[in-house]
Amino acid sequence: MLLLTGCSQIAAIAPVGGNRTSEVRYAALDILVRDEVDVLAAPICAMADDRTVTCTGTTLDSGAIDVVSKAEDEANLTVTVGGSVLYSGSIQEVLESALEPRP
Amino acid sequence: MPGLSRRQFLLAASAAAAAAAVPFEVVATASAAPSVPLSDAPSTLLQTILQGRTVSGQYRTLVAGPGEGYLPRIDLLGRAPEAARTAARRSLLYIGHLSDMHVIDAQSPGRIEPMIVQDHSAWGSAFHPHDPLSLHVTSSTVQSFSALRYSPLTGAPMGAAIVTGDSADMHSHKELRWYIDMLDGVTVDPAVGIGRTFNGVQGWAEAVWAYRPGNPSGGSFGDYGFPKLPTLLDDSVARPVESPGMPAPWYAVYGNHDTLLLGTFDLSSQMHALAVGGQKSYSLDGTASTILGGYAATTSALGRATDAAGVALGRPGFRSVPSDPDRYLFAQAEFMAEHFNTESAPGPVGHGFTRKNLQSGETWWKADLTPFIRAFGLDTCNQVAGPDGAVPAAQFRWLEQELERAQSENRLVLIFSHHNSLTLENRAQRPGDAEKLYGAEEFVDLLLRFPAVVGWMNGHTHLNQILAHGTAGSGFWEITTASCIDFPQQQQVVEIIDNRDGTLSLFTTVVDHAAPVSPGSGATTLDLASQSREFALNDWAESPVMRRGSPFDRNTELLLKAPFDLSRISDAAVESEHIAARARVLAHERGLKS
Repeated sequence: MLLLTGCSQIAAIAPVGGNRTSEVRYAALDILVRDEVDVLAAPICAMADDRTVTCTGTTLDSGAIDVVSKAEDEANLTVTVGGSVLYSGSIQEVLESALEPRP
Repeated sequence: MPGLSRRQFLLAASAAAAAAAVPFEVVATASAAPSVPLSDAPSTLLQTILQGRTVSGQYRTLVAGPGEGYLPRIDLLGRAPEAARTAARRSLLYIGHLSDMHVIDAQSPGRIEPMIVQDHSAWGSAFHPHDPLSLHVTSSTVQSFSALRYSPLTGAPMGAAIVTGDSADMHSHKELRWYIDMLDGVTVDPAVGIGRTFNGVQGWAEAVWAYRPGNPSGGSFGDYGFPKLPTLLDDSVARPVESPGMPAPWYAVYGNHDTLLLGTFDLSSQMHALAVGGQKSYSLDGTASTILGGYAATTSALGRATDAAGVALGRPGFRSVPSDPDRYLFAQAEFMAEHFNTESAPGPVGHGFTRKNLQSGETWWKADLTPFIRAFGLDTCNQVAGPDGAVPAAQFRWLEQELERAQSENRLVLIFSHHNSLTLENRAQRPGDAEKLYGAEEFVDLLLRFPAVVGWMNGHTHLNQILAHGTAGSGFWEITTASCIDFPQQQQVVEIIDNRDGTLSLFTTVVDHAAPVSPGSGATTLDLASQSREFALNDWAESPVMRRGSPFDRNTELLLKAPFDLSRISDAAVESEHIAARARVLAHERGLKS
């Protein structure tokens, strides 16, 4: 019983584990840099109770930056700028690519 | 705005030379020369460290990548900045920012590494494959700050440094001492009291769950492809670890690891006894029953006595190790008190904490880093349980009053804390506690009321992240730096620049520790630090790929509207501060040569 009580606190140790909101934000920003989007306000992200992450920002020419990573598809995100989809695909692939030397 | 007259210059140089114990002519000559950016200063402006090829299983090495320039961020300015600002700007303060060093005594019985067997991802902070190398990474980090003692942007001397918590990993006095000594430039010998043979889980065949460099096979780390390095553990304790010390006065605040066990749990009587004992657990059963049993036992004297007897006699799943009384778990106030056991240079004695703090028990402070920049060091840690934090009402009210004063006195304000705006929602309290704990939204709203606040620097989440708070035309920047324990093991320097056009820029530059990209075979401090960084890249439980952040979170120019007419800060005052800082850096350099 003691063991179970203690281990119920495991979730509280997680902040240095994965962080879904940050991962989505980083991947979205990596995409914006990759595509040389002039950003006025970097996307601000929030996670809903169902773990859907959405982010909104603004381009220098007042275009909307919208990012979504849906709860039912946590591994992927879609980055839209001014109504055009810049990227739709794997979050991990974006993060891995940003950490690797460019050919 | 006129600068110093010749007479004022000589007076300032004389005072700075006397304060830093450096010959007057050395200070005067160096200060008379124009500040020039150090184009070869070792920062990520020149070189980055990226993921290399897979060499065994999933195990990857690191490779050097190109430098990364500054990315201007105009979220709070609301418009493109004036191009002419680069010709007119002046440096108001250049500071180092360290966070989450997590100095680890890996041989200590007061660790709970086997908990990763229960759930590796959740308990990942209890064990890292590079735990025995944290002292070497700390030394390597301090070496980087020493090398960056002049700004890579303007050449301004470093004026101060801040450590935003989680310095001692497992609440051990020995770890606390090691961290202070490394920043002070005092050599640390990890073998003192326990010998030069490594005694810890990574050297024991029974701990199949751990990365065992002598024979990694049979466990998940071996399966992943971690290398066989038979001498690594003994190398980690083979010789004293030297440090150049910080080149500028350094300040500190509490982190959750400086407050609770593993930053999360109250300190049980069992853990107090284990830490200074001679029995170390290598099994989940042993650790779980000891730690969690200790929780229950803390409520009764009989329980505490029984626990202590169990620790002394040994239990299944434990092995004998040399005991060391210096590993005792420090009390909350001792963290502050230990910062008075320090070298006079780089100082300051207390590192932000004052005698008043020791008397009152208040764990937060203020300090004028220059006559025109005031810092507030907060304690956002929860005293009861859980890694995240909040701002207690007493501290909130104190800060509110102090910000009103700073605003009226035309001071620029920097806020230092461990927790960031995404981790300020822990309102755990003991029964009967009634003090309100303020969360992130209320805290950010407080800071937004005072335009004098230009930056909030913090850590905790072991990643680089920069957030804008406010709207176009007003607000402040929140700068979160990574850690020395998880990949990418990066810290940063920050420079506050007056653009002389009604705007300020905060330049952030990410700093890799000084170790080479690839570890050599010499088992030097830097070789071992390099090995640590490579292990951290492969420590999959800690999500290493994401922690470097995006370019918006690394080398940046963060623009904002100046909160008051900055011409009130005279060039003469700025020059005087630079002379004083340069004298301290010159004293640091003389120490490097001796």
